[in-house]
Amino acid sequence: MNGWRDFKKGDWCEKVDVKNFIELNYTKYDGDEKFLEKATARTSKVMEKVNYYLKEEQKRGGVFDIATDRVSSLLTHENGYVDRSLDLVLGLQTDVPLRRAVNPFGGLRLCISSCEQYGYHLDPLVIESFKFRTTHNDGVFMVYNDEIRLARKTGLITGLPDGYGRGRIIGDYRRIPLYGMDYLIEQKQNDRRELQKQPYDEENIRLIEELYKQLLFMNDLVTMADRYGFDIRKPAQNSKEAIQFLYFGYLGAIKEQNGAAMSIGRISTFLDIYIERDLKEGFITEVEAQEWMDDFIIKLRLVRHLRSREYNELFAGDPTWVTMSEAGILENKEHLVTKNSYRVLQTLYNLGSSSEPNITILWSQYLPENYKKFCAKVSIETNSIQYENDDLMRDTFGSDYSIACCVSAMKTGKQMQFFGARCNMPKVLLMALNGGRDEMMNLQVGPKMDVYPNEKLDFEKVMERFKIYRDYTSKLYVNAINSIHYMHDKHAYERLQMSLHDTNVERLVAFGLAGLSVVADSFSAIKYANVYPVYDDRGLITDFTVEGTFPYFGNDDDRVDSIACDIVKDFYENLCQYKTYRNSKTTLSILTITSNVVYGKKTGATPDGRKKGEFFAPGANPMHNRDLSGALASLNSVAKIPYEYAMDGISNTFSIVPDTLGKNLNNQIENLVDILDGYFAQKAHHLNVNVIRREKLIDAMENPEKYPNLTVRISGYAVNFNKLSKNHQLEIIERTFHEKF
Amino acid sequence: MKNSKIGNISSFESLGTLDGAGVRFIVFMQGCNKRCLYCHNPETQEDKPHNLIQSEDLVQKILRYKTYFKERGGVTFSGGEPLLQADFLVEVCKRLKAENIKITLDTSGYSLNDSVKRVLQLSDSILLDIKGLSEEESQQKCRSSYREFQETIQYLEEIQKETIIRCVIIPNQNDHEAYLDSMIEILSKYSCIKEIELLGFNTLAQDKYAKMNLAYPMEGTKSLEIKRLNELQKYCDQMFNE
Repeated sequence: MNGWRDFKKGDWCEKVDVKNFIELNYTKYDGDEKFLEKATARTSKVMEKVNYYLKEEQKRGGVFDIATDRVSSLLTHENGYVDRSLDLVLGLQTDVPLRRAVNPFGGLRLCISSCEQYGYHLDPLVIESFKFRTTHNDGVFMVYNDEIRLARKTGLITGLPDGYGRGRIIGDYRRIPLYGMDYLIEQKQNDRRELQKQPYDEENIRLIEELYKQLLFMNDLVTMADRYGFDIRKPAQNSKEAIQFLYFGYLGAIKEQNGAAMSIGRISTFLDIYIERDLKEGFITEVEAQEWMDDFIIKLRLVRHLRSREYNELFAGDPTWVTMSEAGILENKEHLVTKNSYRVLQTLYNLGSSSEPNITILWSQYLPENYKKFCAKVSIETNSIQYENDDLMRDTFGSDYSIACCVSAMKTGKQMQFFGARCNMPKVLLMALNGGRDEMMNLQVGPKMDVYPNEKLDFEKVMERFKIYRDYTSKLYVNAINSIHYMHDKHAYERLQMSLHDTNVERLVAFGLAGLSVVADSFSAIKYANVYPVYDDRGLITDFTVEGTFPYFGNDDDRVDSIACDIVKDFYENLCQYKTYRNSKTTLSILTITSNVVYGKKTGATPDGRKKGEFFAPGANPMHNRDLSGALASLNSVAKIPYEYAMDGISNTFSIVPDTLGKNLNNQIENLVDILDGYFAQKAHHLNVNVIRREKLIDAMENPEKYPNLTVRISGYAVNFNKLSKNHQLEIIERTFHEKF
Repeated sequence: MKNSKIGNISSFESLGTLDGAGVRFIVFMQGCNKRCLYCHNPETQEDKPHNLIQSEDLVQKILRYKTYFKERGGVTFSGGEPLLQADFLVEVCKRLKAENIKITLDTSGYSLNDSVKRVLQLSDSILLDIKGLSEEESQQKCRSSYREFQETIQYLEEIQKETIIRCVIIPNQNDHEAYLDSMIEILSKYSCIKEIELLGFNTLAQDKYAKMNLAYPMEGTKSLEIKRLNELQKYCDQMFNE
């Protein structure tokens, strides 16, 4: 049987062009969710087993098991199954569900300590096998200079992927079912032969070497699939093979690499093409289609990576960022929603809610109403999806981009990202005021200047100092990131993932900014109120007195919102002045994930009134308790941040109690759709809608840093939840639940 | 005579989903001519300058949320008693209508004058609070004029303005079906009333009174249980629809 039977032909037949294949062959779906099927008995049985493993994992302190006796790669683990008699989609990272693989290529020391953290010991044979090997971590520390080391030590820059896989690379796994490995291998061999005809300059030699490595692992992938009983040399014949082959590609990637973000791409609409054909041919039923998607998603939920304690502090909750990019629209405004876009969301009901895979809806005003409403319903009932503005991203990235990690777009199979963590901008400000001295550790981190004199802080003077130290930081930040990616390419190159990219990829280097609202509010205080420095006995400024009021970021007030925008623009332009590794294009994100807490701990008191050690707001969120005009004013402020200077993404979290969204579920759904439409109409980029149920509200009371901009309201009542006494927070929790779910 | 171009605002809430249909921008106006014992916004009662704003500035502020309003949402004027600043609201509402913004007015009624009538006309829907079923009850609970309420509802009936009646239910005072029967009897002759919404009394405002150094007027009264509220609402809907 011909794998391409009944497919509409096009450019995709002559060369690798998945986008073209999709455009010509997908079936738009404008209907509602009533066709969806519940979990089958088989799926429920498998989930029972999965839940057992998950519970055990929790009981054992967060890690179920570690395969300490071998190095992770495509062929180094025995086959693994959840339940051999029940599994539909086959393949696990190791031989046992949730048993984590060991990947020392990022860094051996960290690998050893990661094992020991959980009471395991890395096999001496593994350690021995790395004796003569330079890991990525080794390489980076061979070249880091003192400035970079100090910046890391003091938390000026944190989360650098210098001891763990950089991630942020999304292989175009769809190519495998569409073309089969034989064809893809042949293309790469042709590319290599062409390059070998060109002059052997450094870049060419490197690329030829990379292609060699890619080909090695492409062949390993074929062998890996053979071991599971599948021949992936030829195109997939049907949807079951399509899902399986695509998953094998992703599985190979996560066996080879342990990047922070190992995202899976934009796959649902692609897979739907095969499912639709099978439904027409009578090869499967809707029940089976859902069952296969359920089983596929189960596999994605089982993804695990071994992490160090420092990593877990930065990125709490054991995230894997298996980000699935859904929906979106074509350049001609036709939407890309298919029945499979619905099936993916249905897995949240069939398997229970889960933050992984990280389902990300590419929202457009042109999406069908039914789909918008279903997404809102799923948000309210499962709290498991996030939203990004396709109308904004499509201009730059076209209609076949994927999101890596949380907010970072790139053209699938054509672009890759060099992940660069983030810079602590409030610390840059404090460093500027303290003449280059770190306020917490009392170390000279930046060029020496006098500490700011004992007088009211003057906006222009402070801004001038700030620019000097920001420039100093930008320079060392670019150096650090260049070092990291040079070494990662050299010592831990992503062979399989890159084999599923075009040979000539465009590289984007992704810098980050943490603490935006703290700096914006600090400059606002300096400009509109009177801020005086307070010195400690070391002569450093470690606190501030503020007289008068000033506008806070998050109230839709241009006076301070424009400061925030300028900070982003200026930092981006500053970074652009420095040469990046491999001519990568400079991009910037305003994203912290949970590292906002760690950053805050390492930073002294700031002019905005934030206390020493107090957590930053996450991403681009306004600081907590400063949104005095409600959640939409907060959204309006964040929407102003210019995406053109922050194309690696602008992260915003919006926490809400469902009953505060509306009187009943229908109202809640409609209102959430209106909120999303309204927010994205203002060219905002991202919204993580965090829907909180009663149980979590207690947690919200105790840990407000986890629930930014929480909105809890009662009809007619003017209130700011965070300003209430604990008792009244408890009562309002009781009062806001009108309906039982 | 107040300057019709300047309004006195207590606070804003940009995400209002329970004060009218859709997503609404709520303006809590400063100043009220009543003193409901169960008031949960005591900070809005005093008629003293708080946050003064020009009418056009308020319009521009509201327009910042237009993208969220879509078909159902808009602005809700609440407080306090918004009709105390009817002149100001006429200015603002004229401008909002020109911008196609839907207006909901949350009021407990007021004596009719030209400006008050104009505001009622310009609004798209009214949330009308009923403070009592008689002059005695209204005065005793809220220092509120029942006659003003009657005037208002009669005028709303005259202009056939969509009205939703809101009534606060307090444990051991009016939390019984007989009260609802009496209320429905009074209200059933007004065809402009779309529905009756019951609001359960809650003690949340206790914090606010404490912060303002005021004694809490409802000391000793518990919040109405949600279960009871739901029961009463169901009963009310049933009886009202008959």
